[in-house]
Amino acid sequence: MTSSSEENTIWDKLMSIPDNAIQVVFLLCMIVPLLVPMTIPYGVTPPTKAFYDTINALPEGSVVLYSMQLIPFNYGDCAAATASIFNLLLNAPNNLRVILVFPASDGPLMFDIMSADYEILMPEWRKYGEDWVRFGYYAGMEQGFATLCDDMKTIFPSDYFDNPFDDLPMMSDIKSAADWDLLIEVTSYTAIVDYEVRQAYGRYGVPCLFAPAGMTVMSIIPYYPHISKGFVMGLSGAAQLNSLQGISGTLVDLMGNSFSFMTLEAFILAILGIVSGYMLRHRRST
Amino acid sequence: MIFKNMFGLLLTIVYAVILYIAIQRAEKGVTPFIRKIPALDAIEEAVGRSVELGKPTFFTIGGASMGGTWTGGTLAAISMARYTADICSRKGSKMWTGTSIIDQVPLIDEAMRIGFLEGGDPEAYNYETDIKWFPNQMAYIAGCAGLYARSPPASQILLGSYMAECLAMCEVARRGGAFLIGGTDYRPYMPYMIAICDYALIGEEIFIASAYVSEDLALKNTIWAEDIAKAVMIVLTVIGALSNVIGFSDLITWFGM
Amino acid sequence: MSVTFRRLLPLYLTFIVAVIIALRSFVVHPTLALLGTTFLKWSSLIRAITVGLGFISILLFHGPKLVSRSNDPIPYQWFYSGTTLFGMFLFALLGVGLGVRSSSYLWWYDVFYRPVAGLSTAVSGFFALTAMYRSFRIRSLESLFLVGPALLILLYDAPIGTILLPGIGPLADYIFLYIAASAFRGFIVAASLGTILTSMRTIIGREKGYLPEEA
Repeated sequence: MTSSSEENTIWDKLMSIPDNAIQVVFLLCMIVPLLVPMTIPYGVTPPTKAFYDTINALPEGSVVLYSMQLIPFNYGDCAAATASIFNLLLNAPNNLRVILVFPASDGPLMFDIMSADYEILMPEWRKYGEDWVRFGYYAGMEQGFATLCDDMKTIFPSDYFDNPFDDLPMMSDIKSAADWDLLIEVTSYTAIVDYEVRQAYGRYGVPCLFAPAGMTVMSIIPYYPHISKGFVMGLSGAAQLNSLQGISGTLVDLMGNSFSFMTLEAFILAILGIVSGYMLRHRRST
Repeated sequence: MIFKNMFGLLLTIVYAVILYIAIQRAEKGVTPFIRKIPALDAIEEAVGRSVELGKPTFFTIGGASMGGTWTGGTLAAISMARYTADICSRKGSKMWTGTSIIDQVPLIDEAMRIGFLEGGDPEAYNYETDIKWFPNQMAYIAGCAGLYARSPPASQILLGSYMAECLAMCEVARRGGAFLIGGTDYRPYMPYMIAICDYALIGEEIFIASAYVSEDLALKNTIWAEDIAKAVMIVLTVIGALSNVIGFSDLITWFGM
Repeated sequence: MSVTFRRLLPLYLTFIVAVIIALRSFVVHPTLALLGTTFLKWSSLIRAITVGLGFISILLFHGPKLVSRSNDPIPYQWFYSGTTLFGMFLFALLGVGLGVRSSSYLWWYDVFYRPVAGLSTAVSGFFALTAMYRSFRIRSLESLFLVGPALLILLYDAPIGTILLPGIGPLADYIFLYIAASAFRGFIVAASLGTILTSMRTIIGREKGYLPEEA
């Protein structure tokens, strides 16, 4: 048992920081960058660059199925990625044809909320039904997605706005996964990634790109880079993607700044904890 | 009629043969060797701690719905709940079970009843108070946090297909001073269990543990069959890697046909 | 209907449906494709119907607690049950009556449900931070190998990370590609093999957990 004089070193104090104090500092690191706009430079990681390059390298008029598992629980991470990727798809120079689907029942509603919170840069030349289409939620997880791959009209006899499938000009030559050129999934649920690889890539050879929420990025690492040539890692990846597109000053950038501060704080805290622990053990052993 | 993915069909047939052999072994009464998972001893230690402190043992099952990809993990966890109930009954510890999936409740009830019966103290189990059901993932976390605020268990065992709730539940339990044993077969959240829990079952160790404590020879021999199938996969992986290194890429094409 | 028929018929159905759907991966034939798609559609329909069953389950669980002003298992349980039922009926009536795309539905969803749902995930962030502070300790060489890459990836994840330490990108990529990916691929293979064998046992009728108990 140490004497009271030995308990007052800086290392003892660091080791006994109350959890509440840590959390208050964390909260400040989260809130201050949101309130005080600042320009923080972003580095672009290789997977995000590969994600961006893969989309831009698609042939003209390619068909992209964009699936978004947007739910309130993953909104913070996935909504930013959803907005950033959607902007990229809409404004890519290769005039991509984009199909939106949702594997979660909250998805269509959360997409509307996301569109209101984040800036969606819809080019004027884009016409709904001709170069982009929005469908709704498909029930049944893997069974529903397998059916979607086989015959899209079976799952979606009409789009989200109740237009019949056959009345959508873009869908005249897109009937199944055989007609897709790329599948992009924004998700926080591993099972969705697994079943999309099984069904779309395994059965039809559709290349995939994934945008997992930050805490579930390990779920798509096994598929990188052979099945998914790149990935966008949640909020951080969204901020990097925005910087690649030359978009700045948006909510994604504010949140990216906040995320940078929070991560730096966590990093410094971890270093302090490691050093304090080592110094205390060293002192006790001597 | 067009045939495709013939190598996949060949592998499926190979696995079916391995499974057939495993079933034959089970019918003949062959018990395969399954190594003991350290966490199994830790369950006894956890229950012992609960008895010493006079507090309950809390067994929580992962929030994956039945009938999906994660049914296996859930069923393995329920099997472990029965084993834990047996130990609690023998040592005289109170046991609570928690879940966020209503479909699991009848299976948990049956497991608890049988476990306490086998342990010799069936009266110690009360369906009304010992099974705690929470409507969804996040209510599960909140409910567990409330439990720790009111009457904290001495030990918590978290097994099954834990998803987003596992991090918060483990941390809440840790702050409540509980001895933790955890295991999930849901990949992204395995690291959290390993980092926070005192003992962790990594990935398929949940299935191995449930086979170990089970008396079902078919289950034990299925674990044996999985090991043989894994050996086949390892051999194919090594062959594929070597052929790629020496430049014989036709083999990779055949594998993918 | 005899007990034998009740137990045998599901087993036969399981076998036939599973074999047809599995064969689709190896044989391309219009009849097979049509049958497989039909079965999958029925399966999706069943999953959608379970949403209705969930509605009834919640009603049966919380209804009696509200009516009897129950304080079990926690004090004022009846109030929480009432809140749950209120939310459930509110969204059901708004959705059916006004439609899920109506502004009222969206407003209630944004104000009532989304903050509560998001809160739980947000709180996890604080828990993760304190868990990390406690668990990042280097006591041995093995823990150095654990903590080192973890810190690296922590910094890599921040948008500013690769600016502060320019060499972190390729290093983190190496960790992802060769260390993490190989470990998780092993997990996927192991889990998939378990799933394949368990599924085969279910198809041939050896796994009967989904059937009712024999009388």
